[in-house]
Amino acid sequence: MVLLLAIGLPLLLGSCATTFSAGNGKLSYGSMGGTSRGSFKNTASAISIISPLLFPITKPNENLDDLIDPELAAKGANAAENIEIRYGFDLFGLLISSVTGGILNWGYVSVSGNAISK
Amino acid sequence: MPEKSANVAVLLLCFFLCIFSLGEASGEEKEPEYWSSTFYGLSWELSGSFGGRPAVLESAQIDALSLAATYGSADLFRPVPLRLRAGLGWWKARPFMVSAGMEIALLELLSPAHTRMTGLYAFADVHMRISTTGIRFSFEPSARILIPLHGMGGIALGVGYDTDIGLTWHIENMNGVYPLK
Repeated sequence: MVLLLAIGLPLLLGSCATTFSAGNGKLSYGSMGGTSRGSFKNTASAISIISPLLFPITKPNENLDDLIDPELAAKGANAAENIEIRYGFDLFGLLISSVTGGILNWGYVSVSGNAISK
Repeated sequence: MPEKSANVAVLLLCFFLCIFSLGEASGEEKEPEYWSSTFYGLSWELSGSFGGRPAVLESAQIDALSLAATYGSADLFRPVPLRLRAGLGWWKARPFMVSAGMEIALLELLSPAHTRMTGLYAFADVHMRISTTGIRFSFEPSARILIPLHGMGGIALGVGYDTDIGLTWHIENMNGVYPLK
Protein backbone atom coordinates (compact mmCIF):
# COMPACT_ATOMS: atom_id res chain seq x y z
CA MET A 1 0.00 0.00 0.00
CA VAL A 2 2.81 2.39 0.94
CA LEU A 3 4.62 1.51 -2.27
CA LEU A 4 1.44 2.15 -4.24
CA LEU A 5 1.04 5.58 -2.62
CA ALA A 6 4.72 6.36 -3.09
CA ILE A 7 4.38 5.71 -6.81
CA GLY A 8 0.82 6.89 -7.33
CA LEU A 9 0.83 10.17 -5.42
CA PRO A 10 3.71 11.80 -7.33
CA LEU A 11 2.17 10.66 -10.59
CA LEU A 12 -1.23 12.08 -9.66
CA LEU A 13 0.42 15.35 -8.65
CA GLY A 14 1.86 15.44 -12.13
CA SER A 15 -1.56 16.29 -13.46
CA CYS A 16 -2.14 19.13 -10.99
CA ALA A 17 -1.75 22.87 -11.41
CA THR A 18 1.30 24.80 -10.31
CA THR A 19 1.89 28.04 -8.39
CA PHE A 20 2.85 31.43 -9.75
CA SER A 21 4.88 34.04 -7.88
CA ALA A 22 7.57 36.67 -8.29
CA GLY A 23 11.00 36.36 -6.70
CA ASN A 24 11.20 40.08 -5.84
CA GLY A 25 7.83 40.53 -4.13
CA LYS A 26 6.56 42.94 -6.77
CA LEU A 27 3.66 40.82 -7.96
CA SER A 28 0.81 43.05 -6.81
CA TYR A 29 -2.77 43.97 -7.43
CA GLY A 30 -4.24 47.47 -7.65
CA SER A 31 -5.13 50.36 -9.92
CA MET A 32 -1.98 51.52 -11.66
CA GLY A 33 -2.53 54.68 -13.71
CA GLY A 34 0.36 56.34 -15.52
CA THR A 35 1.46 56.50 -19.13
CA SER A 36 0.91 53.43 -21.28
CA ARG A 37 4.07 52.11 -22.94
CA GLY A 38 2.34 49.37 -24.94
CA SER A 39 1.78 45.71 -24.39
CA PHE A 40 4.36 43.03 -23.73
CA LYS A 41 4.58 39.26 -23.77
CA ASN A 42 7.36 36.95 -22.64
CA THR A 43 7.59 33.18 -22.47
CA ALA A 44 9.93 30.75 -20.71
CA SER A 45 10.24 26.97 -20.64
CA ALA A 46 8.95 25.22 -17.54
CA ILE A 47 10.70 21.87 -17.43
CA SER A 48 10.07 19.31 -14.71
CA ILE A 49 10.29 15.64 -13.87
CA ILE A 50 6.76 14.24 -13.27
CA SER A 51 5.41 17.55 -11.93
CA PRO A 52 6.51 21.17 -11.36
CA LEU A 53 5.43 20.58 -7.76
CA LEU A 54 7.79 17.66 -7.28
CA PHE A 55 10.98 17.88 -9.33
CA PRO A 56 11.17 21.21 -11.16
CA ILE A 57 14.20 21.69 -13.40
CA THR A 58 13.36 25.29 -14.31
CA LYS A 59 11.02 27.49 -12.26
CA PRO A 60 9.81 30.41 -14.37
CA ASN A 61 6.49 30.20 -12.53
CA GLU A 62 8.20 31.18 -9.26
CA ASN A 63 10.23 33.98 -10.84
CA LEU A 64 7.75 35.84 -12.99
CA ASP A 65 9.79 39.01 -12.43
CA ASP A 66 12.46 37.48 -14.69
CA LEU A 67 9.90 37.50 -17.48
CA ILE A 68 8.32 40.90 -16.71
CA ASP A 69 11.29 43.10 -15.76
CA PRO A 70 13.22 42.87 -19.06
CA GLU A 71 10.08 43.68 -21.01
CA LEU A 72 9.32 46.74 -18.86
CA ALA A 73 12.93 47.92 -19.08
CA ALA A 74 12.88 47.59 -22.88
CA LYS A 75 9.79 49.80 -23.03
CA GLY A 76 11.00 52.33 -20.49
CA ALA A 77 8.24 51.35 -18.09
CA ASN A 78 8.27 50.60 -14.37
CA ALA A 79 4.89 48.99 -13.80
CA ALA A 80 2.50 46.61 -15.51
CA GLU A 81 -1.24 46.12 -15.56
CA ASN A 82 -3.67 43.61 -17.04
CA ILE A 83 -1.12 40.88 -16.40
CA GLU A 84 -2.13 37.48 -17.74
CA ILE A 85 -0.22 34.35 -16.80
CA ARG A 86 -0.66 31.14 -18.76
CA TYR A 87 0.78 27.69 -18.36
CA GLY A 88 0.61 25.21 -21.20
CA PHE A 89 2.35 23.00 -23.69
CA ASP A 90 3.10 22.96 -27.39
CA LEU A 91 3.62 20.14 -29.87
CA PHE A 92 7.27 19.74 -28.81
CA GLY A 93 6.08 19.27 -25.23
CA LEU A 94 3.56 16.70 -26.43
CA LEU A 95 6.32 14.80 -28.21
CA ILE A 96 8.64 14.91 -25.18
CA SER A 97 5.90 13.75 -22.84
CA SER A 98 4.88 10.97 -25.17
CA VAL A 99 8.42 9.68 -25.69
CA THR A 100 9.22 9.72 -21.95
CA GLY A 101 5.86 8.31 -20.86
CA GLY A 102 4.95 11.56 -19.11
CA ILE A 103 8.04 11.49 -16.87
CA LEU A 104 9.56 14.62 -18.44
CA ASN A 105 7.27 17.64 -18.79
CA TRP A 106 8.32 20.44 -21.11
CA GLY A 107 5.78 23.21 -20.77
CA TYR A 108 5.77 26.97 -21.03
CA VAL A 109 4.88 29.87 -18.76
CA SER A 110 3.76 32.92 -20.66
CA VAL A 111 3.20 36.38 -19.17
CA SER A 112 1.60 39.27 -21.01
CA GLY A 113 0.25 42.67 -20.01
CA ASN A 114 0.41 46.41 -20.53
CA ALA A 115 3.59 48.30 -19.65
CA ILE A 116 3.04 51.51 -17.64
CA SER A 117 5.36 54.38 -16.83
CA LYS A 118 4.55 56.07 -13.52
CA MET B 1 -18.16 -12.51 -43.86
CA PRO B 2 -14.82 -10.61 -43.52
CA GLU B 3 -15.70 -8.66 -46.68
CA LYS B 4 -19.04 -7.68 -45.14
CA SER B 5 -17.30 -6.52 -41.97
CA ALA B 6 -14.89 -4.42 -44.03
CA ASN B 7 -17.79 -2.78 -45.86
CA VAL B 8 -19.54 -1.97 -42.60
CA ALA B 9 -16.30 -0.56 -41.24
CA VAL B 10 -15.76 1.70 -44.26
CA LEU B 11 -19.37 2.91 -44.13
CA LEU B 12 -19.08 3.76 -40.43
CA LEU B 13 -15.82 5.61 -41.03
CA CYS B 14 -17.47 7.62 -43.86
CA PHE B 15 -20.41 8.40 -41.57
CA PHE B 16 -18.15 9.79 -38.86
CA LEU B 17 -16.09 11.76 -41.39
CA CYS B 18 -19.31 13.37 -42.72
CA ILE B 19 -20.38 14.33 -39.20
CA PHE B 20 -16.93 15.76 -38.63
CA SER B 21 -17.11 17.87 -41.82
CA LEU B 22 -20.64 19.17 -41.10
CA GLY B 23 -19.74 20.09 -37.55
CA GLU B 24 -16.67 21.97 -38.70
CA ALA B 25 -18.69 23.95 -41.24
CA SER B 26 -21.34 24.97 -38.70
CA GLY B 27 -18.84 26.05 -36.03
CA GLU B 28 -19.57 29.47 -34.51
CA GLU B 29 -17.12 32.37 -34.39
CA LYS B 30 -15.59 32.62 -30.96
CA GLU B 31 -13.45 35.00 -28.94
CA PRO B 32 -9.72 34.39 -29.35
CA GLU B 33 -8.40 32.26 -26.52
CA TYR B 34 -5.01 31.69 -25.01
CA TRP B 35 -4.95 28.08 -26.07
CA SER B 36 -5.41 26.77 -29.60
CA SER B 37 -8.80 25.25 -30.38
CA THR B 38 -7.03 22.44 -32.23
CA PHE B 39 -6.34 19.31 -30.27
CA TYR B 40 -3.25 17.16 -30.83
CA GLY B 41 -2.68 13.81 -29.22
CA LEU B 42 0.05 11.19 -29.28
CA SER B 43 -0.33 7.87 -27.54
CA TRP B 44 1.41 4.55 -27.07
CA GLU B 45 -0.88 1.60 -26.78
CA LEU B 46 -0.45 -2.05 -25.92
CA SER B 47 -3.45 -3.99 -27.13
CA GLY B 48 -4.49 -7.56 -27.49
CA SER B 49 -7.26 -10.07 -27.43
CA PHE B 50 -8.58 -12.56 -24.91
CA GLY B 51 -8.10 -15.44 -27.32
CA GLY B 52 -11.83 -16.03 -27.51
CA ARG B 53 -12.14 -16.71 -23.77
CA PRO B 54 -12.85 -13.41 -22.04
CA ALA B 55 -13.29 -15.02 -18.63
CA VAL B 56 -9.77 -16.42 -18.63
CA LEU B 57 -7.17 -13.67 -18.30
CA GLU B 58 -4.35 -16.18 -18.82
CA SER B 59 -5.55 -16.56 -22.39
CA ALA B 60 -4.97 -12.86 -23.10
CA GLN B 61 -2.42 -12.30 -25.85
CA ILE B 62 -0.72 -9.19 -27.14
CA ASP B 63 -1.75 -8.12 -30.60
CA ALA B 64 0.22 -4.90 -31.12
CA LEU B 65 2.24 -2.09 -29.62
CA SER B 66 0.90 0.95 -31.43
CA LEU B 67 1.68 4.62 -31.80
CA ALA B 68 -1.45 6.65 -32.50
CA ALA B 69 -1.84 10.33 -33.38
CA THR B 70 -5.06 12.23 -32.67
CA TYR B 71 -6.31 15.42 -34.24
CA GLY B 72 -9.46 17.38 -33.57
CA SER B 73 -11.12 20.73 -32.94
CA ALA B 74 -12.66 22.05 -29.73
CA ASP B 75 -15.22 23.88 -31.84
CA LEU B 76 -16.64 20.62 -33.11
CA PHE B 77 -19.51 19.30 -30.97
CA ARG B 78 -18.27 20.95 -27.77
CA PRO B 79 -20.33 18.72 -25.45
CA VAL B 80 -18.73 15.57 -26.87
CA PRO B 81 -15.65 16.44 -28.97
CA LEU B 82 -14.97 14.20 -31.96
CA ARG B 83 -11.39 13.63 -33.02
CA LEU B 84 -9.68 11.76 -35.83
CA ARG B 85 -7.00 9.25 -35.00
CA ALA B 86 -4.56 7.13 -36.96
CA GLY B 87 -1.83 4.78 -35.90
CA LEU B 88 0.68 2.07 -36.65
CA GLY B 89 1.20 -1.05 -34.61
CA TRP B 90 3.40 -4.13 -34.48
CA TRP B 91 4.22 -7.07 -32.25
CA LYS B 92 6.50 -10.07 -32.67
CA ALA B 93 4.86 -12.79 -34.78
CA ARG B 94 1.74 -10.68 -35.21
CA PRO B 95 0.57 -8.86 -38.36
CA PHE B 96 1.70 -5.28 -38.95
CA MET B 97 -1.30 -3.08 -38.21
CA VAL B 98 -2.47 0.24 -39.66
CA SER B 99 -5.46 1.86 -37.93
CA ALA B 100 -7.68 4.86 -38.53
CA GLY B 101 -10.82 6.01 -36.82
CA MET B 102 -12.57 8.35 -34.45
CA GLU B 103 -12.26 9.25 -30.80
CA ILE B 104 -15.33 10.59 -29.02
CA ALA B 105 -14.71 12.26 -25.67
CA LEU B 106 -17.90 11.26 -23.84
CA LEU B 107 -16.68 12.84 -20.62
CA GLU B 108 -13.43 14.75 -20.52
CA LEU B 109 -11.78 16.91 -17.93
CA LEU B 110 -8.85 19.01 -19.08
CA SER B 111 -6.04 20.18 -16.81
CA PRO B 112 -5.49 23.93 -16.19
CA ALA B 113 -2.81 23.72 -18.90
CA HIS B 114 -5.47 22.43 -21.32
CA THR B 115 -4.04 18.93 -21.55
CA ARG B 116 -5.86 15.65 -21.10
CA MET B 117 -6.45 14.90 -17.44
CA THR B 118 -9.18 12.32 -17.09
CA GLY B 119 -12.15 11.14 -19.08
CA LEU B 120 -14.25 8.47 -20.65
CA TYR B 121 -13.75 7.90 -24.36
CA ALA B 122 -15.41 5.88 -27.10
CA PHE B 123 -13.28 4.81 -30.05
CA ALA B 124 -14.32 3.49 -33.45
CA ASP B 125 -11.34 2.18 -35.41
CA VAL B 126 -10.81 0.42 -38.69
CA HIS B 127 -7.76 -1.85 -38.64
CA MET B 128 -5.79 -3.16 -41.57
CA ARG B 129 -3.61 -6.13 -40.56
CA ILE B 130 -0.87 -6.96 -43.00
CA SER B 131 0.86 -10.35 -42.85
CA THR B 132 2.53 -12.79 -45.22
CA THR B 133 -0.82 -14.53 -45.67
CA GLY B 134 -2.59 -11.38 -46.83
CA ILE B 135 -4.41 -8.27 -45.67
CA ARG B 136 -7.36 -8.36 -43.30
CA PHE B 137 -9.70 -5.51 -42.41
CA SER B 138 -11.68 -5.24 -39.21
CA PHE B 139 -13.77 -2.76 -37.28
CA GLU B 140 -13.38 -2.22 -33.56
CA PRO B 141 -15.57 -0.13 -31.28
CA SER B 142 -13.92 0.28 -27.89
CA ALA B 143 -14.04 2.35 -24.72
CA ARG B 144 -11.28 3.82 -22.55
CA ILE B 145 -11.16 5.33 -19.10
CA LEU B 146 -8.27 7.71 -18.56
CA ILE B 147 -6.54 7.72 -15.19
CA PRO B 148 -4.58 10.98 -14.68
CA LEU B 149 -0.90 10.23 -14.08
CA HIS B 150 1.16 13.01 -15.60
CA GLY B 151 0.97 16.54 -16.92
CA MET B 152 -0.13 15.54 -20.41
CA GLY B 153 -2.59 12.76 -19.66
CA GLY B 154 -2.19 9.36 -18.10
CA ILE B 155 -2.87 5.69 -18.46
CA ALA B 156 -6.06 4.66 -20.23
CA LEU B 157 -7.56 1.24 -19.70
CA GLY B 158 -10.07 -0.08 -22.17
CA VAL B 159 -11.95 -2.93 -23.73
CA GLY B 160 -13.46 -3.35 -27.15
CA TYR B 161 -14.68 -5.80 -29.72
CA ASP B 162 -12.75 -6.42 -32.92
CA THR B 163 -14.70 -8.07 -35.73
CA ASP B 164 -11.57 -10.05 -36.59
CA ILE B 165 -10.07 -11.11 -33.26
CA GLY B 166 -12.97 -10.80 -30.82
CA LEU B 167 -12.96 -9.20 -27.39
CA THR B 168 -9.97 -6.91 -26.94
CA TRP B 169 -8.11 -5.11 -24.14
CA HIS B 170 -6.09 -1.90 -24.28
CA ILE B 171 -3.51 -0.25 -22.03
CA GLU B 172 -2.62 3.16 -23.38
CA ASN B 173 -0.27 5.95 -22.35
CA MET B 174 -2.60 8.69 -23.57
CA ASN B 175 -1.25 12.20 -24.18
CA GLY B 176 -3.07 15.18 -25.62
CA VAL B 177 -3.04 18.96 -25.60
CA TYR B 178 -4.61 22.14 -26.86
CA PRO B 179 -1.30 23.97 -27.44
CA LEU B 180 -0.54 27.31 -25.86
CA LYS B 181 -0.79 30.06 -28.48
